[in-house]
Amino acid sequence: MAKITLNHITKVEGHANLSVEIKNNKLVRCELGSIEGTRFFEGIVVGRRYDEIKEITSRICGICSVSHSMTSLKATEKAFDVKVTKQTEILRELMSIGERIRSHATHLYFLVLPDYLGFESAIPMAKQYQKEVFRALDLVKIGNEIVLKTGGRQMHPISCVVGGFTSVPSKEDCDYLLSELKKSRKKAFDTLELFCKLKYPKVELDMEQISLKPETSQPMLKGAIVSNKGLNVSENKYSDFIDEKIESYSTAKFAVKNGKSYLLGALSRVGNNFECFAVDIKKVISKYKFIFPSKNIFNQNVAQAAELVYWLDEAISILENNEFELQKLVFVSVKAGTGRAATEAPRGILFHEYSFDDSGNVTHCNIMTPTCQNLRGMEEYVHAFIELLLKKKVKKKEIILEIEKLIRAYDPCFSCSTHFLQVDWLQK
Amino acid sequence: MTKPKVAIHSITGCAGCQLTIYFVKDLLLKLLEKIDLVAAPMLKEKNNAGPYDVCFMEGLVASKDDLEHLKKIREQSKILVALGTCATHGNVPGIKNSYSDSTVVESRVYKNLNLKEQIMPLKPAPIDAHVKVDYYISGCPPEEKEILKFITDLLLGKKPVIYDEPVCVECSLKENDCLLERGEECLGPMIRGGCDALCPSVNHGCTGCHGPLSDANILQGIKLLEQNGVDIKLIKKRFHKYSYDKFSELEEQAKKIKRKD
Repeated sequence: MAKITLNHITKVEGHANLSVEIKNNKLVRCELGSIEGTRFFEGIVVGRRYDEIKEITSRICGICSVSHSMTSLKATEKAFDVKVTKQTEILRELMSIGERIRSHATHLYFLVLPDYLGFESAIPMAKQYQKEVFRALDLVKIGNEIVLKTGGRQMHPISCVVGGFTSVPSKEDCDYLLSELKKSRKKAFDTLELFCKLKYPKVELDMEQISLKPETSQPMLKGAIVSNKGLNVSENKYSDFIDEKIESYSTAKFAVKNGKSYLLGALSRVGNNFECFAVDIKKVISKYKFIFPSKNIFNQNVAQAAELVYWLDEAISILENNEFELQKLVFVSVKAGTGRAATEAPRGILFHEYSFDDSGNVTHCNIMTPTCQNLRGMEEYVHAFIELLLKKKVKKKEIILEIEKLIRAYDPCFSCSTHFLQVDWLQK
Repeated sequence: MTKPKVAIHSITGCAGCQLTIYFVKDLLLKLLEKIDLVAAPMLKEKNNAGPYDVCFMEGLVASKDDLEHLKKIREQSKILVALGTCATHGNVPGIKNSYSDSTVVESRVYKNLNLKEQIMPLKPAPIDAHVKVDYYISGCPPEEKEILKFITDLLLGKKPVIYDEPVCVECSLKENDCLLERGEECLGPMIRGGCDALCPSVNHGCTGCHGPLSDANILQGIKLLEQNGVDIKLIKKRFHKYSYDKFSELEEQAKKIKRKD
């Protein structure tokens, strides 16, 4: 019996732990959990007034703070029957696009690409692949600039509040963003080509793939909850079929649907909404013989790259067709009630639910992040992949590298629920 | 000159402070010319142990695992910088400390809190509650210009000085309308600036994410907000949001001084 502990699987967001036990070349145990310290967000917002809840829950995650903000505002407004203006909806979508662009660009280029090009990180990679690294930094920058100009800050946006915006981007801001976005379009396309050209392993599981589905576009802030297995319900109904389980090895809870794991994120979104892509995106995807829907988790990288192009185009279209003016915030008349909201964060559906008392203070809060919902499925994919690799008699060291690639393809965000993934490897 | 060995480590938090560094092309590239980034687990696969000349520590202490990691890093770092409001002030997770019984908060999230010892919750605390900190760069997230200035000072061999003026100074320089004068809620007078009055500049009151000034006049701050019709209980909650422990301490001091007067 040998116990092997591998510390610090890196280049993921947050802190996590993977524990693996192998007996007679067979995998007998595989546990993946978050070891991020507990922060009790759902507990600390209780008793606090509606107008600071978005500000607090935004702090759950730096990389997806816009998503947390948008979902929080949407749930709060639903509880009070606040109807925001069309302009507010558009600006919120634009801000979310900014986050989607920077999140995907960061993930693809800095966390994923070094594995495939044989570098420990993007820093040494930059010497040989300067063009690619600069492209990544440019894409991250345009994403950041969008969030900054619409939200007042690159992270934890400020100006979006319950009922609208305290400030809106100026004409100059919009012109600047538009011209930068147009320059970035080729970079996004080059990204899609690059990630289509990489050689990915094939690990397929027949997992239910869930995403939002608006009628005519890829999903962001609205749409019914649908799946490749016939699910089609409104966001208000999520708690009817999703349960959260606690395991002693993880501070993040595990969400399951009717006892089973499911998959959220770009792979599910693209699979469920493929027809909404523009012809030129579909062309690149088919040129490299990728087919969506796909059960191979590694194709998530391609799905993210396709989304990058799609959302960049959407941002251009928003800016070409809108001018923004400062509007009065919609009056909030507080009352006791509950609001539930679902949006597509970069990593999948994010749920926020709040109940308020009649003075507008939170009495109950439930937040389900995409990573919590993906954790059980990620465990199952890791399990399947290790078995596949053991069958092929792959050496332990390589197995670990391959598992890391798989986990990165999942794009977990363990703050939301890993700066380190510690692997305990127990071989009997 | 050999490049200083710099590390970016983290404990419990949102990774936003690190991202502030990684997100900014100009800043990142400038930095990498001048420093040797020997450890940054979110970005790199190869992460060296210390000794580090400078280590930026992001996050707050919320578990035994955090505490052990923090202590190990402190031992390996000549200069330890608390980066961001989690590390400097405990940030919003510190709201939990406003409850005399922490299980009240915990039970709202986990019905039975039965986790392995390493990840069981500890009292949320800024890192200086457990180790010596050499410099503090607060902010949620911290300002890139403050991080850049700090590193520039170190590289030039100057002792870094962290800005310690209220938000109002930069706000006045930008000729923003004063939100307090307009009868709104703004914590600017008590809060450390360095952010170019970010929030008031987008027509939103300062909510205190940099934490209080070292000598914040709490009683005057409360008075200003009361004059604007904000309920005293709400004022305290707003103050405590990002820095429960520090504000409580300042409040106690202020009360003592008042009694002496």
